[in-house]
Amino acid sequence: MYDVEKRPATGASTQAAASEEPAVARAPRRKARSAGEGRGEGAPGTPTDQTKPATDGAQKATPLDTKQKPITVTSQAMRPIKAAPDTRKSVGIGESVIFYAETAPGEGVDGTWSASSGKSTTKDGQLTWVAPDTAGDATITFTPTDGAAKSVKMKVVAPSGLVFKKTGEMSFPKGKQGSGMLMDVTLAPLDVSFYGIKWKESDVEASNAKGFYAGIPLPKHVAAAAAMFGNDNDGPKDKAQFSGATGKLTEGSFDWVIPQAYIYNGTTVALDAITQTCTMENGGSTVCSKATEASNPRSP
Amino acid sequence: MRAFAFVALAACWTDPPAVEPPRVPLHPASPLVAEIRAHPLALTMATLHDFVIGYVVTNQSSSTVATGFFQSSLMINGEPSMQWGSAVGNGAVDPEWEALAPQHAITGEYTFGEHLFFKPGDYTLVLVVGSASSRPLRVHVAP
Repeated sequence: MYDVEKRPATGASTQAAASEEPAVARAPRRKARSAGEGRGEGAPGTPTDQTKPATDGAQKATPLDTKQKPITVTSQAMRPIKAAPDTRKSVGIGESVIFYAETAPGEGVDGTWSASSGKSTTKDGQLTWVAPDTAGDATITFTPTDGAAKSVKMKVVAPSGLVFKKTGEMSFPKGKQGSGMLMDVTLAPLDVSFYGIKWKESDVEASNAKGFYAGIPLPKHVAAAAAMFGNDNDGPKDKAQFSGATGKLTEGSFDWVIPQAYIYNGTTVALDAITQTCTMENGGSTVCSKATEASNPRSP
Repeated sequence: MRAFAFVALAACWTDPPAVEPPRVPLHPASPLVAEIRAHPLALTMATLHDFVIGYVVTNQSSSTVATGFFQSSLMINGEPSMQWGSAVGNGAVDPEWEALAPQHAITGEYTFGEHLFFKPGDYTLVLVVGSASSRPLRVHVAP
């Protein structure tokens, strides 16, 4: 449900972060990844003081084995997702990725790292890169002490929209008009991680009132607190319902066109609005729909 | 006949009383305490948008409870407010509403006076959360 996973520090080199000169780091050695590592460090999506813009300069590996062998640069996203492997070359905004340069599994290479955007740190010869806050392409380059540089192109993807999936019906006392549903909310696309990003709706007045609802004061949609996405870009639960109409219940409907947004690093970015519609039939049978989902018709 | 009645009555009196199950109150005491706070309490139709209503729902029991707050009602002169029901019944689920720790409280406030009061008058507001009801709050709306 709601993500309570702790985010361990990645142990990034503070030397690398503090120095304007290319940092000296040991040649890469593949290391087991900590299962809890994720988007940056500290608060979700917030790089810590241990990171610095990659454009500050290349970061150098310490001498180890400098024999000339084919070099492989491998990337490993720190936040696993179901829909794509950890070696994926598309990542969400602010996602953290580890890069290794090796001549054979476990055999590191001397050299320096650089990234065209985002923020990065080195430790034990591996580069930890935090994707920038906006969509675009990035190039991660490893330049060995001896030999040609190797680059990896990464695609940084921003959230494109919300997916609502009904998980159950809401209950109401017998005799009360109303219908509603519970839904899981995910942030698309699902083949990158948006762990730590938040979802927020805004207030909006009712619109498009017809029939019964054209004749009564209508409630406005009131925004709830922001909710954070966790693993696989899921976590938030949404409830959508309309209820409480009284008197002679006749056919009618109205909409809430609800503004949607995601919040990352304190910045709110608008997504397409989602329409929630209340539809009532003569006698009070009611359906609440939101996005692609709808509650079961329910009579008072 | 009288003798028979006496014997029957005596039998009733002498029979050991049936063991009764413990009495369960029809509406057991709520583990929740509901409060509403609002300001200003004197409004005009032109200043309804200034009206702020807040709630505090405290779990006074020794165990975690599901508050059911999303089904709470704000009774205005005895009638449930459609606006309140819409506000608490829609949007992202607050995990604390579903599992409120002992001695903890959920709080919040809304500013939708123009959706609560539709004409001048005196209004009595009561928040109902399950079997817990707040103390009444009186609001005056002048023309």
